[in-house]
Amino acid sequence: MEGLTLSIWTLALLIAVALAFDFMNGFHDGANSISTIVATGALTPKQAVLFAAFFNFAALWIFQLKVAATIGKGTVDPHFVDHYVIFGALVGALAWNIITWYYGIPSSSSHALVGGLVGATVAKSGSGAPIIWEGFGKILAFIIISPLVGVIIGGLLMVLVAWIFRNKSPYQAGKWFKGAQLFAAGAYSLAHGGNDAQKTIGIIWLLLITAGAATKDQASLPMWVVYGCYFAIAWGTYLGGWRIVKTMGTKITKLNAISGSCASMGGAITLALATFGGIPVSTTHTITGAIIGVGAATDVKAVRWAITANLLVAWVLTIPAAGLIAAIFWYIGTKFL
Amino acid sequence: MFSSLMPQRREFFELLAAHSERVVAGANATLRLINGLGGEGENVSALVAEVNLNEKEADKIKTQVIERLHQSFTTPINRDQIHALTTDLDKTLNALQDVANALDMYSIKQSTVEAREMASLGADACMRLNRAVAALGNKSRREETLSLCKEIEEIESRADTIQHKAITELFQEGANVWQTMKMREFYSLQEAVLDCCQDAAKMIEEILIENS
Repeated sequence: MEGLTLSIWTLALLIAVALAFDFMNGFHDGANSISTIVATGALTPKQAVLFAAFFNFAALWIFQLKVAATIGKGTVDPHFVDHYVIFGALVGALAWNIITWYYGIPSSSSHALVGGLVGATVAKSGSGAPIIWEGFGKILAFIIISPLVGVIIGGLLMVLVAWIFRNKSPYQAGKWFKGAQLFAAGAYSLAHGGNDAQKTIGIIWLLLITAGAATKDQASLPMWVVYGCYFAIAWGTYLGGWRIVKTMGTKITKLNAISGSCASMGGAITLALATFGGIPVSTTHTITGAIIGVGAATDVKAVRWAITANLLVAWVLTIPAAGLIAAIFWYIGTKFL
Repeated sequence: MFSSLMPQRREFFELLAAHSERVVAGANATLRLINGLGGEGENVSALVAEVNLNEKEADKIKTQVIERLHQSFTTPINRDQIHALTTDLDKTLNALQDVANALDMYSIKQSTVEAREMASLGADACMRLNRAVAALGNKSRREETLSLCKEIEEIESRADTIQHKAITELFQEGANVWQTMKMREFYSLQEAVLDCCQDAAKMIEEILIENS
């Protein structure tokens, strides 16, 4: 196997880049779950980020590593992957994340990672042969499915709440939701950690397989990889979350304790379903879907459809764009790494 | 997609319609009162009592609307706008009550052409207001409702012109100072009714624009 020639330093460097990617994910997205609990004053920003980071990490004990398995061995054939491919995939995904961050496109780092991995692998093999369509196809389908499921679950939760509290004013109902929104935000952070940390676990797993340090058997995966990835995302959430108090909560439609709880819970349920099914999905797009669903239930005009349209662009572009950049960096990697 | 699954609470439209019917009843009683002033047929105190009764009943409806607002998670239109509209209707009836009670307070025994004209414009505006409020919950009647609101605003500006003319005449004739003072006050009370109708019409327009 080519990977056996991989130096320990290159391996360490790539793992560090992967963990940095994971950290950035938490740094970016951690605030999604806590923006409403901070906005409604249920927790202070400092408490809220600790809360979110804790649940990010706690996901470790809840979810099996099915998503990691899909990324690590279910998307592309590991035999075609070497450290250049991983390098291309990670740099391609990072570059696309920076580009979309700069232009304010709500792109998914998960899709960027998958796009990067597939792009670099195809560039190396020169054909689409190494793509495992069962896994990759599932990921592609869920780019559309996960936000839609988010919309439906978020919307239905809002309808349910409206019927349960139909004879209470929103103010009276809101008091009850001060506690409920903590539960919903905790669930969302848990689901976020579960799905997103596993993507990096998957990439590192793949790297270790190519380096000959692990096999496709899950038992061969060192536990420090799992702990490290969950820790990286939780740490990212802790450091990044409190900087960004207003994110999705105020951009797409205004959320209060009640609609915020429904959106978080809708996102959490959708993510947890995907994670149990081993499907890597975009947490950002899923919570966005749930927010849109809640917005459509309460006031259709409150949904800012222009931002929703931006999302559509991100859906279509992310995988090919990240894939293309990854292919370029794969080539650069083969020359310099 | 989900908004049709939410609790609809149509009763707010029914309560607002009932409220505006009280406004019409008050306006018609006021019109008969002013038209019959100095004549034989109408009983002044009975008509004043009728206006007061409608005002009281309308107050009860307003209280009901506000209570319901506190007991509803969802409302068919913005809850602040429901509150504002019921307040505007309430103010209209209060203004009508002020007109009816001013007759006794200022001991006005004879009406004038202008007073009768303004009373009839007031009744006209209130009737249109009632039709507009009744159609508020019906999206297919949006155009009709909007043109009713426009008509109310036109009626208000016609009343403005009449009030102007009437006051000018009061002062030009230079006759009785007391008569001039009390009629000037009376006309402005009448004009206040139309101003309130206009406020309500503007609120309805706002609601229609927001829910289009």
